[in-house]
Amino acid sequence: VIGRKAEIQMARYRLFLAAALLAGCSSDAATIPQPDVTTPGAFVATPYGSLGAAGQTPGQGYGLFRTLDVLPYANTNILAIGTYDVQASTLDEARDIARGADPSLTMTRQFVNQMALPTPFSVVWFRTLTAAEAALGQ
Amino acid sequence: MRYAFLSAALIVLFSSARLHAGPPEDSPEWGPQVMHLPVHERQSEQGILRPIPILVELPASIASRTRRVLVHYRLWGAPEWTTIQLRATALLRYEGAIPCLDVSTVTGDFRYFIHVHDQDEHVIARGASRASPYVVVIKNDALLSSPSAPGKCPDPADCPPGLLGCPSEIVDAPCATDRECDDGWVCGREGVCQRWTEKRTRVVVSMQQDFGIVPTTGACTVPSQETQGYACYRGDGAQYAGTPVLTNEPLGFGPGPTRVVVGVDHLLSNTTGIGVRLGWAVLGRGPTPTEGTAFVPVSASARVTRWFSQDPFARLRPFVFVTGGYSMFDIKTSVHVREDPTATPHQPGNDLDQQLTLWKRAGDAFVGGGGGLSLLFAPGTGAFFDRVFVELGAVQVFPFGATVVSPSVGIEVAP
Repeated sequence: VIGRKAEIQMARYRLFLAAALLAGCSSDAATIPQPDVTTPGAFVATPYGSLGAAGQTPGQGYGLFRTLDVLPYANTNILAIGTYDVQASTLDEARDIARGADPSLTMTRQFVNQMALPTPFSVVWFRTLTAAEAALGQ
Repeated sequence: MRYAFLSAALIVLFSSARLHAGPPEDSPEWGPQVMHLPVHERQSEQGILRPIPILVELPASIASRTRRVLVHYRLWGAPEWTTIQLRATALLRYEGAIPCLDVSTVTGDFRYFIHVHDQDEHVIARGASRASPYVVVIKNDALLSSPSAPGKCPDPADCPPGLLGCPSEIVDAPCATDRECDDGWVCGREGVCQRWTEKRTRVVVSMQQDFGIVPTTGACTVPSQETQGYACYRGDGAQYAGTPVLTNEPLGFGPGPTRVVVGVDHLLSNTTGIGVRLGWAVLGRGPTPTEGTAFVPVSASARVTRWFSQDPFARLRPFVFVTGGYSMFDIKTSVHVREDPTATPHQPGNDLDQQLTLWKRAGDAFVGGGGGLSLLFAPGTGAFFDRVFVELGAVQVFPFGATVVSPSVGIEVAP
């Protein structure tokens, strides 16, 4: 009888231990904040040429711009963006370009209404702005 | 097999006139008969204050390789063995005598055994052994079964050294291993037996490479870098000062400082010793952040060592130790950081995801333990050290935490 009680106690202990371990693992479910098109520093891919940037005529693939500043206006936002003179065939390629983008890469500044952004667009990367980049958006 | 037992190669003759006295020839407690060779003469008892002559005849195959023949003897009740060297009196013969003064007036069993050494001081033959020596019973003259031979020491104070029956010059016993030395003696690096008590204190010199394990979750937040000894650097060399998202990251593992360590060990007993170590970090110092605590390359520790052998100077000597002390450990590893895009940026140029170089300046105290193996370096080779060792330590560092493992290799010198 004593052996049986010991077995039950051991089983309870193991169950408690497993529950504690599972509880420890379940705390990983925190939401990781993601950048969006209104986040200064976000790299956004849009259909190439859809923003009408200088020298860009609509074509295949994706163009890339960066959100430099956001100005709330009425019930929307006016975005100060810098358009890169690059063309990517896929979103992954656009992300790779954004990751390796030289901060001194030439950007063309534009102001666009967030509601009028050409679709589809996708935020592919984020990097905090340098002082020069932030000044470009002012 | 290096040793050829003297039982197959050696004949010992005792020159006493009182022959064939004592127990039967196959009795294990008596001397020459245990050689299982024809015994021309032997002596089982001797009067007090009389020398015990010894004559050794070697086979030619042994004699040609013999450098010297040593007799190790011990008086009844005496704690240690004494060694004398026999003189070569002919091509195959060695003669000598256990001095009458050593025989003294103490009655009882007198024990001895014989070692034959070659040019390399290896024992190539032997008669009896320390564990099972020859025995001669020392008796008062009146109790001898036959009249005592002349040659009794008349006055010990007048006995000139070197004469038969007088004190012989005690020579160092050559050896190749500790097993060839008496109890309490060890084979020193000069290739002769030495009291191990004379080698209780030993100096160690070693090279040590630290490796650290550090938690990296939250390591690159500004508070962590300001208060917990972390420093994170981006690929462009700038120290990270962004706003990371608190993500679960694996433990970081990386190299720490490389140190030169010197120390002293002192044996308290055959199996236990205490020691101190001083180290200097010659490589592996990390950068010191602005207003950060400068790296101190000096380390100091104390330890208690336990050997798994009754003979602390055996050829192979495993050991374990516990240690504690002061040291700084700069651990270099890498860490993934996810930038929080919703936070007000404090530093330009931080990517959404980036791999940073992480330095952890752990310290300043540590406790831990480890184990290792000490190996006797071949004695007589002229090396200035006599042991080499490898060890692996594992310590927990606090209050700036890290777990550090430290393999090291070094030498031991008996000053």
